Amino acid sequence: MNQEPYIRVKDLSVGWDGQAILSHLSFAVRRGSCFAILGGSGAGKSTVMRFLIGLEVPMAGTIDIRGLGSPSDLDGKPGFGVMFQAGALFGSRSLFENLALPLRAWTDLSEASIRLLVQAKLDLVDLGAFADYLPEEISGGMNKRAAIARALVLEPDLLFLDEPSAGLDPITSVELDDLIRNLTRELGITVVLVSHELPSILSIADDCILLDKESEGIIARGDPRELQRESRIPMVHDFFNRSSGSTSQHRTIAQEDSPMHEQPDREPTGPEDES
Amino acid sequence: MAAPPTQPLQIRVDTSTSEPCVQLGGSLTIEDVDPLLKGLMASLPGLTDLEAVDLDLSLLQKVDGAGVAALLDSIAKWDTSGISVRFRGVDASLQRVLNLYSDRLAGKGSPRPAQPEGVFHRIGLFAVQSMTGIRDAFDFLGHCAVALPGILTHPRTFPWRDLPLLLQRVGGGGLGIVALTNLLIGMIVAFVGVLQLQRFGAQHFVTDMIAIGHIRELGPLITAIIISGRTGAGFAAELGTMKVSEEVDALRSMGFDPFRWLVLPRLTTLLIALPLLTLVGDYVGILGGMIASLPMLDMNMDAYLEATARAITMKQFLLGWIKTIPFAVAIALLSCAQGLATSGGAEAVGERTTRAVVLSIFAVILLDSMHAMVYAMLQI
Ligand SMILES: Nc1ncnc2c1ncn2[C@@H]1O[C@H](COP(=O)(O)OP(=O)(O)OP(=O)(O)O)[C@@H](O)[C@H]1O
Ligand SMILES: [Mg+2]
Repeated sequence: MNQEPYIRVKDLSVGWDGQAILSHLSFAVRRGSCFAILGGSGAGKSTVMRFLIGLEVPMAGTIDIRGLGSPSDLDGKPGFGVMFQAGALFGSRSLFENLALPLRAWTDLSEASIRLLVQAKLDLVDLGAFADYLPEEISGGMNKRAAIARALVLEPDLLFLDEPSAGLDPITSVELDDLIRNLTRELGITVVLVSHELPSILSIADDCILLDKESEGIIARGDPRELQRESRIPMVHDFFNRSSGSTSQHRTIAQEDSPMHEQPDREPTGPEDES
Repeated sequence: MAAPPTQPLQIRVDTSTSEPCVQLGGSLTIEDVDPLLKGLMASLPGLTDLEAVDLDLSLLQKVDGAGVAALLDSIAKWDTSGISVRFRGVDASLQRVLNLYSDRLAGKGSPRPAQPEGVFHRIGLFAVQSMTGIRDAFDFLGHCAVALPGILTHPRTFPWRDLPLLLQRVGGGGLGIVALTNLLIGMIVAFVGVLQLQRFGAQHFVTDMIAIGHIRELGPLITAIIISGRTGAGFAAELGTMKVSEEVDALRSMGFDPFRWLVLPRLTTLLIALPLLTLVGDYVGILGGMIASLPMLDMNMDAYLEATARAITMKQFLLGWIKTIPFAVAIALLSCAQGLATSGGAEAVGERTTRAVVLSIFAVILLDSMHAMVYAMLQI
């Protein structure tokens, strides 16, 4: 795995309607790694992703992808694949058309090759038999899988996935984790993943940041397995060791020593070898 | 075996002893919330001098979440007036319910900022909104202008394949209602015209009135208004739905400029369809006029048609027809802009659709009156 940062975020502030909900976010994503953005519901994970892919202009700070600067100019062949939290498939087009659209626009492939490639991607997520269905005619989980297939269809080397496995049954979810792991390990694709499915994070993420709404920033970063074992910060510990015990006590304690050791410019350390 | 019937809520306040006590008994469920709040409120004056009070819950037979939430809310009020509360008679299961709500009460997190009230606030708000509205409109026009040359550099991000379908939907789909409306308007004008002109013995000029009135004013206007309601609403609702379901964001993330992919094809479609529909509207309107007026005139059909043909000059026709271009631009851009400005949920889509129709119709009428004024000034 390469050590050079692929995405470098410095002092980023994100928010809505001129109001920042998270500020001074700094982190780096290594090429070929799987990077997880974690946090509770409403912490701003999807918001951060929207800024990373250039849908919104940063309120402060910079985003740099591949050393080419911010992705704000989206006109042209996309440099990455994106899966939105709700899928965001085009409702008036069949799954085939949804996947064929970027291929038609950004490649010179013949219609026959397009057909083949789309089918291959749909097969990859077990939706081979549903090419002619409209998004509304398949289930929510199937929509998500189709959206992942669409994100992959141009063979991007960078992938943004917003909660790919949320709402899927355990078996499909594990299969999906395997798929994502293979994408990074075998094909060297860099994956930025939003999630709060602990098992899947622990099995696929090399690196992570944990966002918190109250402290409006990153409260933990590093290898998720390491954080699970070693973090002494109550909120982080809670997140990774979700016990049923009372969290409210921890919450008040956590608030007191909340602005935790942020190290904006810290270069992420290499992942621990899994054992 | 039937469980013993639950007693209604009882509140007993005892401040006579050295250990003042409020005792609740019976049931504390969603039905008891009002009596509870009233009862505790009533007991508050008697408690104001106290520093602490015991709250005895041992006699409660039945509780639910609503009852507990209301109770905790009242206790929080006592707390703020300086009375601390000691719970008594709380068993394990009741403790769990209490914990469930006590952790979450008093709305953690920031409340939504209050909406401004008052006349001046609203006037100010309106002014700001109109200013941003105008700025947004220019923003939108700018985006469209920027997206246009992209057709040359990225020709495949313009949905050529969708154009025929769009044309069919806008043109073919709108044909029936456009024809019917124009027919009826033509007839109405004929009825009124014949009757009024008869008073001066000039009823034969009704052919001129119908023909010129329709091709120059009514045909383009009526058609554009119908299309505002039909197609403008359709565009706004479609784009609005795509916006709220993040389809527009997905498009952008895949390198498709929404203006090129969504707005320009719709503009193109209307620029083709509206002039054609207006042609049909003109024709059918004059037909309607004839159907209505012919029986009221001592004229045969040939003479009527000849008179009509004489009245219609190329100039009159073009003066009317040319207006369909600005109408089409206004309807397409206004409704697409409203669609893309949608944020929120289903309600927002409805709101934007309504606004798209209102704005389109208003713009059409405004443009028409501007044309009329210019024509009048030029005496054409
Ligand atoms: N379109 C929007 N307009 C205004 N505010 C928004 C919008 N989308 C999200 N927010 C706000 O941003 C905050 C973070 O939302 P976001 O969707 O990023 O959370 P999240 O971490 O992805 O949560 P979840 O895990 O539930 O998806 C929320 O408090 C929400 O109120
Ligand atoms: Mg989200």
